[in-house]
Amino acid sequence: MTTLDNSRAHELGGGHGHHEGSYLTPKGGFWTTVWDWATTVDHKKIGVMYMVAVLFMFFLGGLAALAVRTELLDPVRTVTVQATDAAGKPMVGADGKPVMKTVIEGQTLARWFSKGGGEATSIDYGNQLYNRAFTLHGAIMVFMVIIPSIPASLGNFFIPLMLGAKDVAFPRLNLLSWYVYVTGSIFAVASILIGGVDTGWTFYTPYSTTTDAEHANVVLMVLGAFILGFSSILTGLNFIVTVHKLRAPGMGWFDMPLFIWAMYSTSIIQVLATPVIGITLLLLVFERMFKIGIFDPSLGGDPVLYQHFFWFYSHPVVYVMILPAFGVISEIIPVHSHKKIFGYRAIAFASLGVALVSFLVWGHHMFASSGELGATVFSALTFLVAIPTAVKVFNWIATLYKGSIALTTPMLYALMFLFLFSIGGLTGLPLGALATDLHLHDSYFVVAHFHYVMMGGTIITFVAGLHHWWPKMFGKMYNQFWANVGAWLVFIGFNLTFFTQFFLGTQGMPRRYASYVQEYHTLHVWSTVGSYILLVGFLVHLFVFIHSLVAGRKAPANPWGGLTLEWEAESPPIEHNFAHEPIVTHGPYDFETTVPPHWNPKDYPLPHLPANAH
Amino acid sequence: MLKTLTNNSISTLAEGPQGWWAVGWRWFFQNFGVNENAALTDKLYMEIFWISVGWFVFLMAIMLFCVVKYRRRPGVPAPYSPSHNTRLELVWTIVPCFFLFYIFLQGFHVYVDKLVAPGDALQMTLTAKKWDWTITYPNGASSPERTLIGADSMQFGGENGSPGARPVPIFYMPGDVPVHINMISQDVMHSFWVPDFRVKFDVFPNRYTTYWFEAKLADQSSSFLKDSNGKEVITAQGKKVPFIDHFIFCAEYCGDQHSEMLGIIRIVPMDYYLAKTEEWNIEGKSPEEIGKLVFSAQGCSACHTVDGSKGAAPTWKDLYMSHQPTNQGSVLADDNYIRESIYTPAAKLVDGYPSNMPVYTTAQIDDKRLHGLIAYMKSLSKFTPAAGAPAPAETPAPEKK
Repeated sequence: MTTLDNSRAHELGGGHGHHEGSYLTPKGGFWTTVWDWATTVDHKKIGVMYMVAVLFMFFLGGLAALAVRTELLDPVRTVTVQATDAAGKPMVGADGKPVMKTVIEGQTLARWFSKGGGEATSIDYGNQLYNRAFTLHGAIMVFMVIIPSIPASLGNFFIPLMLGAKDVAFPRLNLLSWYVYVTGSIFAVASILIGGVDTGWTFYTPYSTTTDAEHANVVLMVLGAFILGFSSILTGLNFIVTVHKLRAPGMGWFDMPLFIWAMYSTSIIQVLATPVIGITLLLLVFERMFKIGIFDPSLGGDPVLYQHFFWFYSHPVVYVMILPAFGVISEIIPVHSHKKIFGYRAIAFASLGVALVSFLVWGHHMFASSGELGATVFSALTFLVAIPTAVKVFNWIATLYKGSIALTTPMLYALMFLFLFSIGGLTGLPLGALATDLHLHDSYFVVAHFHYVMMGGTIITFVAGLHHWWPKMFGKMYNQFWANVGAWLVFIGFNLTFFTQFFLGTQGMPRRYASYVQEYHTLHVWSTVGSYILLVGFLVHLFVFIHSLVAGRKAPANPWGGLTLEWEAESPPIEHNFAHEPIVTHGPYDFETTVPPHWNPKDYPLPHLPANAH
Repeated sequence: MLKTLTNNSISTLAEGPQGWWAVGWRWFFQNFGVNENAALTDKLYMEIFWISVGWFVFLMAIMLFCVVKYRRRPGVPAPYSPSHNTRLELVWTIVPCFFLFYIFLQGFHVYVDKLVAPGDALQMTLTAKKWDWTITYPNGASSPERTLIGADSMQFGGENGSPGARPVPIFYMPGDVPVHINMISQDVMHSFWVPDFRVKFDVFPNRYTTYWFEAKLADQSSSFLKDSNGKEVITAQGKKVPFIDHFIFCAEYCGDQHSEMLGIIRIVPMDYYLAKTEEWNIEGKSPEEIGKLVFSAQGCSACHTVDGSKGAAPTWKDLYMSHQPTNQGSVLADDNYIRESIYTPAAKLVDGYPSNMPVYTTAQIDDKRLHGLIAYMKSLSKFTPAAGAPAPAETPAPEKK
């Protein structure tokens, strides 16, 4: 057994040579440490800083989502009730009849935020609060959470480690992109503080160029998104060069972990598509500020042009959000089922295929725009993009076959991902078909669909990845029982929140409605209850992570028995990742023939020992 | 000209969904067979649904089977299995293609039906603005009827009108006749969605989009139209009027009252529809009557009140010939000011109100309608000179705040 920590492990540099401390070791006093983090070019620290920033924005966006759901708990309605006097007694008129008055009920946000704390009197005020809340939720979740979540935090931390490199190709550029991200986020938060934006995260013209024309809120928010785009581009560029130039000796393209393939495809989309949104948002600002007619018909522009520009970026960016999730799943499933991934090349090429086709389907956001036969082409291409995605799901499920499946928290989340993402993918079919889309477009069906894909896909996977790599990032284990409890709460809450919305959509509930007709009430109540369960689930995770940092058991170098290079580093890794440059001698998923590095039977009871282990 | 279509497939579809795909149809939809396109959409949706359920259950069953059967047991080795199988991978790449191709073709087929109106359809125009709809009938009339949702017609509305306090327009449409609507917006983008018809199309400020439908008439045993006193309406021919209401929702986000931008399409028999549109025809009516019709039909009533209560725009009660404080100084609300406020509303803004008034063109409100509106305002104002009386003394200018 002792030979399992074989000579190769030492040779590869992950050994026990304590030449330098972990990257988390403070460099001195408090301010020295803060300065060290603020000026660091270490990809691991930047990854952690991204993680903290993204989780903070996730908290903000989540609050906005809860505000939206709470407002929708009750439909807004006007009711006639008997008036009461100052003492609270029902008022009776001189003729003996009760004095009636009309009040608006069901405006929760307006009741919370109105200065007097009294009853709402204007429909508009409550609606304005609601419209700001859903815009805030969408803009934060898309631009500041989902897009940077996996690439910028987990990607930054693990791409160099998985490639066996000391850092990304351009460490200083990496730090810059973090600061650019924070700057963009500050712009967005500032726009909220000075009154908020009510355009929706899509900023459709001409509404976005004419609303609140006297205020700078919209310009600030749009500039925020514009700046965030630069952060994406810089990170993507950095990753592409890193993958090309910094692979460890012996690592060919098809020896790379699939997470790297996914991040590589993502980076290509980021670099190619983000400039388009940058230009579009800048044109929007120019139109607002200098009255140049580009999108606004009253100035001679065309609002449909904006939609083409916007979705030419924003559809590929859907895959910027989901491809990294595919990468994380492709790591978690083989490691926790101790099984070589099924169809490695198919998954790798499916990533590239998805990235390519994603540029050709933007028109499917505009099927209801004017009814052109061109929509047919986009519909066909949309179905085409379903194929590589479906292939990946088949591959992951085939990987489970004859594996040795441990229901750890990351694996539980990976299985939940397969469940939720399958629903998300399949509900894309009636949206891709032209006839049904004319009914479902801009309804709650779409809302439910993209939450299953974006949240059930990306956020769930981000949480899965955090649990998978948490021991490596912070050197501490967490309480798996409570983490699993959190996972189940998230799963139940998620389905309750969003599955109900499919029915709302087919029954005719339009999205972005501050209120609704009575017949949708029951489903909205269920959906809101689900969102509160989601909140509880995420709070459980938060406490589990805090407990882990404070009182967690020290993590071994390889708690799950993974074979990719990051598990050869220590937990947490030393400042330069590896004591010696690692050399790749086995594939990332060769579980049948390889003993995991730093394997300790106490940490991780393996199902069997490879024949050459002894 | 007005050919009543006798489409057999509609009547059979009206019997409800039939076939394997119809199982569970009621989970998703409320009604069926409003017209053929809606029924075909439901059918396609349910086919996709059951195909999806099949795939989903198949995948999840394999997944759960593996999780249970191959769960980790210490010391028990994972049996060997290949990690690549070209034949299997080809099969699961190609088989879904057939399903997807079928769905695509069906979607395309019904889409074209939804797109192309029959040549003999009734031609109407729709204008959308924040936050109201106006439909102009072939004879130039528009519907002035409005209702609080739930207050009288819609059984599933709120207790006293929901959502919002504003009455929404009712558009009478003939049943069993194709109707073709040319749509344009006066401000931002909107989207005209009648969920019961399973179709929506966006409404743009700078180009026409079209919408067509043909809705089934209620059969004679269904509910009949009632007047505001709750009595059933009897036509000149002594007949009751069967009707079906369908919601209109705005589906493209358009600002503060996006969720109140509703409407009702009321399907009635052709003769009743003709009688109604004739009643609203402004030909041969007095200016004041015309003004009253236009006030409601063009959606002025969405923001302006006539009883002095506060709305989103100045009330018309005692407005005519009064002095209004504006951002251009105090202005006398005479005929010229009213005309200017309709065609170029942003020229002078009354203090305390946002710049929310949509711009009307002289085609939408022609001279006849404009004179009607002014006449209507005159009738509402105490400052209007009485007939035959000498010109009144200057009305007192309101104090500047």
